[in-house]
Amino acid sequence: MTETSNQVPDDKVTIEIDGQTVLADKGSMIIHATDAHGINVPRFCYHKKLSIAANCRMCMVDVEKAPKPLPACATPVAEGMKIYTRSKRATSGQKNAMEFLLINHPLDCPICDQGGECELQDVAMGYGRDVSRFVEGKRSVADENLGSLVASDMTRCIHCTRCVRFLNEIAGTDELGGIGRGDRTYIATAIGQGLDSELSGNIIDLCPVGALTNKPFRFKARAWELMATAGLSMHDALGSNIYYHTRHGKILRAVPRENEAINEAWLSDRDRYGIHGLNHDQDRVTQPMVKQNGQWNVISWEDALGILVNKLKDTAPEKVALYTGQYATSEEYYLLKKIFDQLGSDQHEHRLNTVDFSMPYHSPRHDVALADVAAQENIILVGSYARHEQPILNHKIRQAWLKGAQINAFGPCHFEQNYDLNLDITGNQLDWVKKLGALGVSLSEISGQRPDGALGDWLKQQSADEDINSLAKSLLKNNQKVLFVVGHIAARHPQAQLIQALVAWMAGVVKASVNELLLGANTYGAGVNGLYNDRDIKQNDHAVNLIYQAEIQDFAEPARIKECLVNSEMTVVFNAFCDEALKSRADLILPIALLPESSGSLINNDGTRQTALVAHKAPGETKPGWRVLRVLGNMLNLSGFDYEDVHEVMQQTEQLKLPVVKSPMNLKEISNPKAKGLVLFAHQGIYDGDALVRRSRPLQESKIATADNVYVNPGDLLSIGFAAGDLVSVEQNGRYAELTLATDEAVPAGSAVVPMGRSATLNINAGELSVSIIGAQS
Amino acid sequence: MSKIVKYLKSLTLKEIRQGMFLTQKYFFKRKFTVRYPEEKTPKSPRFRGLHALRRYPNGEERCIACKLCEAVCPAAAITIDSEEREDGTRRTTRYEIDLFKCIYCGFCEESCPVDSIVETDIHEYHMETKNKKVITKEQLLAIGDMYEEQIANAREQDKKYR
Repeated sequence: MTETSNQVPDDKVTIEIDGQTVLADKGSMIIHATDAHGINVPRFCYHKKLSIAANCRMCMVDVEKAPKPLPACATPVAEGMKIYTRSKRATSGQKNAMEFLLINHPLDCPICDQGGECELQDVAMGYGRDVSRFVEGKRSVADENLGSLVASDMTRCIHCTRCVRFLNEIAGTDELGGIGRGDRTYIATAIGQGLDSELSGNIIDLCPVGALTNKPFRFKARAWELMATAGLSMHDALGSNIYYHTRHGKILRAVPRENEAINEAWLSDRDRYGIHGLNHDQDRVTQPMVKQNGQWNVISWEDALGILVNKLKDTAPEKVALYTGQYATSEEYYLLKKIFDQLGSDQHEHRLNTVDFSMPYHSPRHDVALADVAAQENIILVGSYARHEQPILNHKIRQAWLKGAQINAFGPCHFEQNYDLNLDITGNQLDWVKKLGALGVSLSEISGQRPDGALGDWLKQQSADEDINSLAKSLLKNNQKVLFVVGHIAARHPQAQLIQALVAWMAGVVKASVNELLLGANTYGAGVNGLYNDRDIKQNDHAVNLIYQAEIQDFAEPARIKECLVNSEMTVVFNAFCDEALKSRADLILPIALLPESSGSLINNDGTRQTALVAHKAPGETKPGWRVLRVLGNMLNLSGFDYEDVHEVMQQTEQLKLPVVKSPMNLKEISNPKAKGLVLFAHQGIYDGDALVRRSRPLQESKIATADNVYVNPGDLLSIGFAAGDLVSVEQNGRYAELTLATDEAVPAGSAVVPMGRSATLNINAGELSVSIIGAQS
Repeated sequence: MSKIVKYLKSLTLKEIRQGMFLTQKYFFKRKFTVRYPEEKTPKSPRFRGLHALRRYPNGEERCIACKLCEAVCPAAAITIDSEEREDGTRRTTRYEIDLFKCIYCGFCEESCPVDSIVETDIHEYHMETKNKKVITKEQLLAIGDMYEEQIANAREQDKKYR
């Protein structure tokens, strides 16, 4: 650059790096300027997303007139500063720092998983000495068990504290810390209980040495053997960008692919370790199978599709139902919709984990893009445990909180958050909605606006208290960015439509934005392709049930769907996995590849369409879904099924227009569920959301995985008549689920929290709120 | 003129006598032909023949599955799979060398940080079917066990040049 000083903008300063004149932001550090201009300065502790610690001393640079070399990461730029990164003083400073770092670092690179992708190894090649001058004994540090996800070899640690800073600043759990002083410093947890952050895997990527490595990946492969394939997360609707690292066609690990608009440089543990479910041999279906006289027989694809086609031809179209999961690709949804349109049936539904169908389908609201969530000033979580529902979204909410935003929550439980809540309003599943209604009443009283119709009538029955009034006042402050986050608990709630309409009305009053969190990776895509029905199709009797990339665990009403399947003439499962619960009710199983095994596009919570490539070789006879549906379309003699590759289908789905989202206000009637006894809160845990995470052993063994427990408030134990730890049955309308009784202060009195999406609770419908706890039935 | 010289040379069998004289000279010289396979020439300790995997004196296999040999192999003849063994150490589950791909360059031995993979001085081996060309970890370890003394001696002799 050749700008002279009189043209320099106010917020910039002119500095000279290695003889090159550059402009740098005022107050920024030297390393920001060198990075921006592609000048390499070695570093270990500095990371662009974390605070500056300056404790590795590797980034020493020579600054003119400074008495000694200065750390580039912690030295602010100043007008006219002359910096030399390659001068003798700079390089000798760097080499000396390197020598000190290597004093205690073990020479175990051949058995270290970081070998080949190690920052210390790379930098030591340039700045290290050939032979160590250190002849004394090296330090060694005992390892502690950090859980099933992160392996530690703390002797290798160079105390850069990136992991400590990540867990403090981003994850907000403060789990790791530096203990001791001087050369006796070591990084450890305070009480040795392992990590329970939902973002803990990121410290593996951050660690510049092999002190923290990927436990399930331990000793599996070397960095140089791996091929990176660009993929997408299929476990939540964020659409996090992933690189799948594969060797011989098998995915061995997942690492984040940087995307500043979505996952930045992070990845949730669910996205990182979900892939370990792929190789679950027990439930994996690798060949088409048909049930004949109660026996499962392997058949060819042709015969299998032949059986299905004959059955479809013999059945009236409205007697054929399709239940599709929410993590298939848009291409599959497009072809499914095309088949159903041409057959003449509208009996298709993707909202498997929804129980309230009192309002016609509306496209989800996503007023604020994920990247802008951190800029909100008042965030209200409505029935959302964002931390487990969409971990990266929660990270953005936490960033907003760090900037001073107020966070409020309405929900059926006091969830453990990594930020302070201004108000955490809880009650049983019916009560918290009433308290949300109270906020509506308060807003209506202050603003003088009133909703009409059923919502207005319902609001008249609610009343506000002081806390709610003060919240309403703070929301009505002018020019404030208010965001309502309507979460998964709200979406699965028996009064989901009421909650959505109420939030939409309140958002209109306070001029707030609303983000409705979608339940699956491609819920949006299924909606855009029209795979919904305005009524609950489980009410109708269907002769043929097609279950596409879903399991019984994916339904919010597993007991009800089990009944539907038993009463039908034929149940066809298109899925990669089929467990006993589904197998015993299915008649035909067609193995379909999961997302990392097929390519396609997904639409995320923001309405962004992204495509993923094939990363994993599908086992056996497993075929990509779009291919099976294409052949099925041809065999049914339907028109327009002559696609030759997936890109032709992608061209069709690219043209699909995202709907202009309107707020859901046309609430005709309010579903009014009754509850006596304990009120059920069917809660889906962080690792129970889809077929892959349910089968991923590292995730299921991690600390935050759900246990088969029913949680009640300790105050209710007396009336229940059992002690915590007892094996009990949760009874719901004559159906039972065997669980262990546990107590938790976070559960409101009169509530029973039952895990959803697990094999143990397939008899519990989320929609029926009355449950009781009785003695174990077996 | 030259034609006459050529004629005389052929008439007196000069070239044949020259050749026969050379033959006669070597007939009385010391012989250097060896009667292979009964007799064998001496081999350098650096001879690069059939591969072997070595063990430590306590019987533990040396290989730690660092995969440097696999990475350095110019013929991509080595295939390694690794895992964490029950005692937490890093070990191979598969170590295979394709002897038809191998060019016996010795890079694997040079790259090995624990002196596990070595090239022995065995050069007399054969296989009866084509699929035997890939030798497995078990075979390699067996070769190492069988010739450990020989391997160690050769390494000892060459030690000061390494």
